[in-house]
Amino acid sequence: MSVQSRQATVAHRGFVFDLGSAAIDLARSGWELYSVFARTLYFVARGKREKGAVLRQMYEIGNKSAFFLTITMGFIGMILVYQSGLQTKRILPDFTLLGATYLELLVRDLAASIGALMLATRVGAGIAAEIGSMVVTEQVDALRMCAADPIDFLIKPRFIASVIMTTVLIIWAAAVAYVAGGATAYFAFDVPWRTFLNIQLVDHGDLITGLTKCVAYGAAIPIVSGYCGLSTFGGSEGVGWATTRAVVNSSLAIIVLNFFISAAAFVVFPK
Amino acid sequence: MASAERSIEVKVGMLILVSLAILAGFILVMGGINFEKKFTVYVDFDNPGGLQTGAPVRIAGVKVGSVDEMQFRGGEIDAQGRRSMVRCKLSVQEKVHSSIREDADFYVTTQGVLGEQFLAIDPGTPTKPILDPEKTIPHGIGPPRIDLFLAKAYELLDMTVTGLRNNQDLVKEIIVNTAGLLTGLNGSVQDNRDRINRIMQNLEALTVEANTLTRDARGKYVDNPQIDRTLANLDKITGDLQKDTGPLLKDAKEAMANLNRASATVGDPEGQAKLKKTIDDVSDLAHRADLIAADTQEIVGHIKKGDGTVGALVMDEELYDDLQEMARDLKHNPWKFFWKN
Repeated sequence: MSVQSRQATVAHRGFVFDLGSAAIDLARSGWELYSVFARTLYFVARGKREKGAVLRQMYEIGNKSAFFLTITMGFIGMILVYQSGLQTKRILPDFTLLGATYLELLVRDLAASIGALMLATRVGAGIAAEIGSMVVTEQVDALRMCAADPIDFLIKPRFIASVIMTTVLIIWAAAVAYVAGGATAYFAFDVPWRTFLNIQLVDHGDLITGLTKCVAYGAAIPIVSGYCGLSTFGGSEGVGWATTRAVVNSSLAIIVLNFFISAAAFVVFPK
Repeated sequence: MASAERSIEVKVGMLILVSLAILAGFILVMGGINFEKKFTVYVDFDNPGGLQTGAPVRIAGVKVGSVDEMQFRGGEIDAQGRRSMVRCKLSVQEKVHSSIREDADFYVTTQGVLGEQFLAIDPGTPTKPILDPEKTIPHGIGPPRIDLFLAKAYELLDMTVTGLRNNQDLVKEIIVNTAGLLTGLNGSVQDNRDRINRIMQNLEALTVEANTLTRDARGKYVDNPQIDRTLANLDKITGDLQKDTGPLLKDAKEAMANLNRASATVGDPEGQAKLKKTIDDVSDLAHRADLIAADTQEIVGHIKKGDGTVGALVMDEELYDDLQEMARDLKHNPWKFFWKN
């Protein structure tokens, strides 16, 4: 066997090995993620109730994110309306349906998806950093020694708080984005408020889809971030990685969930 | 610590309340999540254009339902003998059922210029009965076929262009001939301007005359009460005639019977000989009467001339005067009958 061919075989084996190990890692991560999710649901139903824990998390996740989300969604609303207004102007100078279309998109998809992505950056990073640092400082092990399941003690309150507060925040963020969009339409394209405030295109299907997404994203962010935090290893560098993975994976989870929920909504509420 | 906890509770509670208020307000503005009772209408289309399942159904611009299903039937004839290409199943709110009449129009139209297509219902005449979707499947009006129009227009244009391109010489010739014709016509008009003017004047006069004539004729023959009267009389006559026809026919029958009898009488040879003799006698008699008349005429001629005694008596004025005088004299002097002086 020549040197080149041996090198090629090694390279080939390396590639297949990498692919296989990545797939196994992915499957293992998926399984562990599912396990965390199932255990969280179990503890929601059966776990110990720590007084005030959920409320504290609601305040942390909800109220502390409200300002950030208001600002980002306000600006995103303005940008969306301005850009779509410019495109509309290029095709036909008729802004009658600008508000109605914008509201439909906002209710059905954009408010939940963009809002949840924003929340994932803040809340997901926070959860992962907090749990990750607890893991590297062995606080989680201490919890386990005290017969307190870290999922019950750490993830469950965040899960409940996130499901409620993500929904609440996204409703608020949608209102902010819509008002900001209306103001942009009024000042940039002279669209009257009455014309912009057109809810003709929104039906109950859109609303149900939007709320379903809120709940799904609200559940996904703490589960993914909590899992990333719990699987931290190493020192403070590991915490950094855990935080990065939490944000990336939460965002990915949001986008994938968006795809599946949108597809399901398309089947259930045909347009 | 307790106040801090409470302040957290208040803040969280406020955020939730604000969100719930926004959601409730939105649902309220949306008109509530609609779980209203609905009824189903089927509408047939030859071509519903870009209408999609889930498209809204509107009456006077207000959304009252949606297109639930679109079924391609390909000209299949159903149990009621109706032929349809596409059958749409509409789900419409029960509360608007009473305003959809039997002659309602179902048509596909577009929101805005490039907006989504939806199904509009024009409710129809209020005096007509309410549409019964169990019995009636209305036939919908499809959207204007702009694609078809463009295709046909394109074909026409293509044909025209090809025709012109392939027959350039012919077209040139036609144009040249037409130009020549027009020039000739123009010259002719220029040369005969006076005559044409005259013709036009005559024509005008003629039309005026015709107008007058028509008016007069109308006055005389159409608006004339005489004609009405005549027609009324004619009507009366025909009425009478109709009334009298029965008896008349009876009389005629009787007369025919008599005639038959008479002809039967005259029919035999003896009768005919008698008749001939009678006719001969009558002829002879007439001849004689003629002669007598001639004689009488001659006598009368003589009398007129004053010839003869009777003539003198009749025609001579003097004699008449004498006689009158003599009569008067005798009247005054009756003795003269007896005495001659």
